[in-house]
Amino acid sequence: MDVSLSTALTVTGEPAVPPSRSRGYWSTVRRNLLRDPRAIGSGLVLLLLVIGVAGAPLIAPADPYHTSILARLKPIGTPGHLLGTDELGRDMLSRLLYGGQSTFLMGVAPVLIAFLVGGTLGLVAGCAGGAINMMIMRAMDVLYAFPSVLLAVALSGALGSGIGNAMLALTLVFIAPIARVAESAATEISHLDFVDAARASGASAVTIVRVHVLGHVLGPVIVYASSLSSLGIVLAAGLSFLGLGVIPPRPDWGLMLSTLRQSIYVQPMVAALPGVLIFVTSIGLNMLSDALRDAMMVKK
Amino acid sequence: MKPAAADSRDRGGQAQPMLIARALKKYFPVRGGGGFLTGRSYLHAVDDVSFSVSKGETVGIVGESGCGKSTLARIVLDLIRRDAGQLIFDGEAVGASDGITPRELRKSAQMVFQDSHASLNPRLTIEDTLAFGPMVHGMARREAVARALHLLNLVGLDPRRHAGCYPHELSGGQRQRVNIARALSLEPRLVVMDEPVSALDKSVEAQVLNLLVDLRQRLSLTYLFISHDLNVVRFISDRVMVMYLGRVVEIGAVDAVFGRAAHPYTRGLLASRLAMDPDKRIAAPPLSGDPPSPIDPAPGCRFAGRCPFVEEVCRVVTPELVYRHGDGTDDKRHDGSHGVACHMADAASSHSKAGSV
Amino acid sequence: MAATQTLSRIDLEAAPLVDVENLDVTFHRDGRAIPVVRDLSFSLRAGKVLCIIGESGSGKSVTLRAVMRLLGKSAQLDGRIELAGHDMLALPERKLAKLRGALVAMIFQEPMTAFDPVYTIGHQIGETLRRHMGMDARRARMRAEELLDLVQIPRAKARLDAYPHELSGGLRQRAMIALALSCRPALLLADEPTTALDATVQIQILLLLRSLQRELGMAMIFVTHDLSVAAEISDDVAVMYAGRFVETGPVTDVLRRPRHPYTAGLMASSVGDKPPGVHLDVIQGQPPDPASILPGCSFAPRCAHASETCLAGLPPELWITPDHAARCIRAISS
Repeated sequence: MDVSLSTALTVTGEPAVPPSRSRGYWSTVRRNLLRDPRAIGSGLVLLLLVIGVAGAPLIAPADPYHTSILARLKPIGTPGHLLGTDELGRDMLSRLLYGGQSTFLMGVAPVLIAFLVGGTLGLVAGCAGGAINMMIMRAMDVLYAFPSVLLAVALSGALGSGIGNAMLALTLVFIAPIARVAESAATEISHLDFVDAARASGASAVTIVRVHVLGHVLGPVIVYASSLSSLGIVLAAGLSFLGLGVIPPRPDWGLMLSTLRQSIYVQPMVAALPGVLIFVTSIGLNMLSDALRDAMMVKK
Repeated sequence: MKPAAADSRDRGGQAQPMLIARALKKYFPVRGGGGFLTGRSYLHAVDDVSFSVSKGETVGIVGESGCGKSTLARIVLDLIRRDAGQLIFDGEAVGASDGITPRELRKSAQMVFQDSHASLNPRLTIEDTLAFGPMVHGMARREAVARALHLLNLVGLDPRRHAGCYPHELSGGQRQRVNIARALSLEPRLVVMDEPVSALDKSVEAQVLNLLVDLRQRLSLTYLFISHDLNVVRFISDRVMVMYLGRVVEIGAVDAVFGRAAHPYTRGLLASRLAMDPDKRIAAPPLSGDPPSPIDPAPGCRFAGRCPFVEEVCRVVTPELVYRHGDGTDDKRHDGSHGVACHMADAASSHSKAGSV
Repeated sequence: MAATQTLSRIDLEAAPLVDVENLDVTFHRDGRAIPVVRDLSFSLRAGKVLCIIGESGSGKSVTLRAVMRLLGKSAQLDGRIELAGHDMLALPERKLAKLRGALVAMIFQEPMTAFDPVYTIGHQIGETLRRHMGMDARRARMRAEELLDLVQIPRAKARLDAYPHELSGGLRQRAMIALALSCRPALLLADEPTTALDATVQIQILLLLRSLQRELGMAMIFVTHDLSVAAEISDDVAVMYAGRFVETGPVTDVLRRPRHPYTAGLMASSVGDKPPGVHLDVIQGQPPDPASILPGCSFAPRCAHASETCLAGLPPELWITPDHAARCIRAISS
């Protein structure tokens, strides 16, 4: 009897009942995330901050650049200045709302760029292996050899201050660790049998990466990048604090922390405000990334 | 051996073997092995292995861990690039300028892996896994999915219940059926199976073996079947190849190898099989020691270190396969008869028992 | 000395070394109770070998670990386990630790789980001897060398200084057996110790265990999924399915005249020396999930002879001979 597969396959039509479908990986992750109080709490706090910062022009009660010698260092709760004023009499609430813009931009955008660049480099290195892996990863090791804070300070010091240069420095700092995470995940996956099976079916490298590798690498890299963004906020504020980021009088949380430093004995509460925001944002991002990591640990 | 029925996909004619492997070789460099004075160490995974598989035939490959059988499976599908040697699929050399490309080979030759868990992408539904291959080769998604559902039927799974499942929702036996279905999704002619039943429970192993026998007949498939389990290989194969440390030590029809084993290793391996009878217990181990490391093996016969008949010549000269014919004459030509790579089987060697087995 | 020895022998004959009664093991996970072992009773005399045969998920390894109380906090053990008169379920952890190694020792499928990769074999065996037997370093090393000799490791003295990863699979398995035997346990628990080994090495280890067990008069509980391994090594066998013993008895009786359809099905579906190409008689379907076991006979859904009675209630244990029992309503009539 010689029945080729095509004959064997054409004996019946469509099955009567469509197959039942199980929940996919990403929808399971989303469900886990929505059930986690940490994720909901930190997500809400971060959402509130983002809305406030992004909506600063609409919400801010005063001009953040408007100085007043008379209204210097007013305490929290002063009529007209809900969160007091700084050493030049500028409205703190408005400055905090506007200041978040540069801090968020400098903290998060480099992580996003590094996520794309580093993730791609790591993916290529992990899937290609051999000499290409060697070249990419040794180059990453050079970047990785410096402590991240030191590297960021040194780079922006060499490039000169300014938001653009600070962002460039932070991007360079984050590429190497993200590439490493992506590379180790991709290497692990590409040695599994199902990748060999995909190769055996004649699929091209790009198809294999897209269908079989990318999904597995994305998870750990997203978790790692989200945890880095909390570090990014702190580093961005730190660079501005050191005078390597935002140039005055533009508001920025790090810079505000630096200039209000001298007034800490006069108005400690007001002086601490930018620090509190940096702290809350960073912790929020950290908790969100922890929750994300747990949500992605789907039982096999 | 059953003569294969004519197949419209035949390129080389009915008598042309489905696969000819000639002098395949693969050495892996070993990291950290050898200093700069001694040179690099190599793991001799596959060393000068030649065999052929006729159309419709099942060739079994047996051997212990480190004998190179899994590497050989991957070399046959070009998943591991061979260092030397030739692969001829249905008369056409793989990778040669006038032959077929590895991609064309993979349309006609597929593989089933041992680890049913690692060989399925945990993020894809069974249906998507099965549709992947045909879609890679240009089939429309709708059609590929329809085929996937029929493939599930073919391997004894219920398309309605299992198509939308993820691999972790299935049992080991069901996953292995999916693996088999995937291998069949491109209508291959040769299926390479690397220990397809070794990880399964005994009762499930029997179900899968029955399925493989059934599919072979229904789809006129040719199998290259790799296993460490002699009983399983004997059950499913027409011809058997015994490997030891990267080399073929004995090859021949299943009855010849199991009934008239000539190589001391094959005999030891056969005698190590356990009987399912408490009255037939084994009194003394047929072979002592472990299979040695395949890294930089000593010259001469690879089995010399464990062989009870070892002599001087065994440690110096690597024995070649000697084929014996029905009329009792020997020569070194490969013609599908019973071949043994042992100095005792070679009348021309200087072993004191030369020509005695 | 002679008197005490005679006395202890009489004691051993009077009471079995291992006595398990109505053992239940329940795992608690995510607020659910999963019964993995149910109502297990068996006893084993000194110097005898019991094989527990079962497929993955049957509860055979859990049973073995329960005897030594090696299961974690999520496992709830009910019933009675007595080892040489010690009530294992009542003993405090500190006293248990003393019994482990000295009275009962265990070997595993993967020897690397028993050894610490950063210490040499000799150091680890010596450490056990010093701790349990109070030997000094020099005597412990000598004894360790004797033990490696005992398990037939060639060049034992040199192998003392080898790290676990430097040994081949078979030697590592032998070294693990040496470690388990270091305090002369009366009972050795073996969890598929030969499953990961090559055929030519597997038989060596089985023969070694058989001869050691006889020489040392040790009792052994050997867990395996392979009927032919059981045929090779055991005196008695217990076939386990879905957490229960479905058939128990002397190995010859059970393998020659299996009375439970599961045992018979396992034997029929073994490839063994069946002629090529025949259709194997298989057991259809697969073992049930321990979390969702129906009342009645657990094997009934896969059994060709199942009837209404089988699904209605748990079949009783029927005795075919004074030693051979099967939990099947057809055990005697068939």
